[in-house]
Amino acid sequence: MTLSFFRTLALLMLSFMSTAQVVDDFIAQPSLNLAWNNNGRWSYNTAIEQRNILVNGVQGLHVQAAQFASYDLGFYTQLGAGVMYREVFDNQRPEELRFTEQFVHARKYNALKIAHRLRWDQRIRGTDLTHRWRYRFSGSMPLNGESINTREWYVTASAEALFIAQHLKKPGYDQRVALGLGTAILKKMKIQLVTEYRWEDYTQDLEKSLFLNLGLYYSL
Amino acid sequence: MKRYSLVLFLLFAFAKADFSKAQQVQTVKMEQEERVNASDFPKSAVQLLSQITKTDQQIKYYKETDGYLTSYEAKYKRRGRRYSAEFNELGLLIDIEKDIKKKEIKKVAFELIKKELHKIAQQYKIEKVQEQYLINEQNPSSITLQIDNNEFDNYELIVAFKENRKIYRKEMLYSKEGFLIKQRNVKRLEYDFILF
Repeated sequence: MTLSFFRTLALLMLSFMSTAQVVDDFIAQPSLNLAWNNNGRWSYNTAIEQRNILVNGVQGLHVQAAQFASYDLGFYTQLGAGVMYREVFDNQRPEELRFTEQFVHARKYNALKIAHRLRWDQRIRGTDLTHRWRYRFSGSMPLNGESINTREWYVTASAEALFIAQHLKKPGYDQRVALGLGTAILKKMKIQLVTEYRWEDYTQDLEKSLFLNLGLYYSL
Repeated sequence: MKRYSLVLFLLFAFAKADFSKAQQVQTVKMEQEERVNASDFPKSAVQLLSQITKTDQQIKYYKETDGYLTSYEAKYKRRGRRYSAEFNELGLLIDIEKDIKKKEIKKVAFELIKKELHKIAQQYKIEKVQEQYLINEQNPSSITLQIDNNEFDNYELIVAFKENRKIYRKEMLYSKEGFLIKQRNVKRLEYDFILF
């Protein structure tokens, strides 16, 4: 009797264990990022990114290209807008077009750089329009000296909260945290590996994923 | 023809930008700082530091290269203030800089400084102020006395300027009376990887 009770309990716990797994999806995301600034108040950023899911090997999900323009408002604030196109490999799903507007406050306190980013995304997938309001708090600090020189390392971390709204759908909430390490391999080129953990739609249908973002950054 | 003139225009625009950049090279602050161990620091400098800092707190040692020049810098805190001491290649103490607040700048000097900054750009923001103590004698007790008596020589400021077309930063050195001694541009800060 007791044995069968514990057997049943163990069986029940097993299902708990499987739902309580830490990560549902492992994602690897390499990217190329280009920044362009001519010492004026306008600056431009271009990014190309591919997302892959790691299940039984590597499987590509989509590629995307984004173009941003930013304008320095004040000493520490910036207004920016961008457009992104995402080519989804799954033919059953529509491609995505996204418009983004953002307001940024970034400042350096001795060696520590701190940035607040407020974003409004309009993502268009087929006939669906989704609005996302997001706030990200991020920081970065060189591991050597006051600024990042060639062959020096830095750490970066961020936390982002998202509120997602779509017509005829319940509102969704995402939360992301990220921690990363980067280095300047050349005077104007950085390489950065960031691990990001995401809780997606945590009020209704929680999905947890771990992202590995490998980025190459070049400033012109 | 129209298309060619556009290409030509762009070509000249970039060429000009490069040219004006080249002219500034010598006045841009481009220090490369590297944290080092006390053992990589000139011995005489480490010794002198231990006598003037009088603190149990950690002293951070840096080796600096600015163009062809090598120098050494030590950073420490004393009585809640941040200090940085700069030594030359041979380990001789050149100056000590002490972080102060904007409102601690002497009034008369500050008025002069503000007037001058206004001439550069309508809008500016003073981001950092340091008192600079030039060192004549490598004598710990006279150096300590000089600092405790507030006998500094200059103010060193990091100032952000805002003009119609750009926002930029300069490092400005003023005498304690408020006269400009020298200025140089500070490299533009990059935030890209934390903004996008």
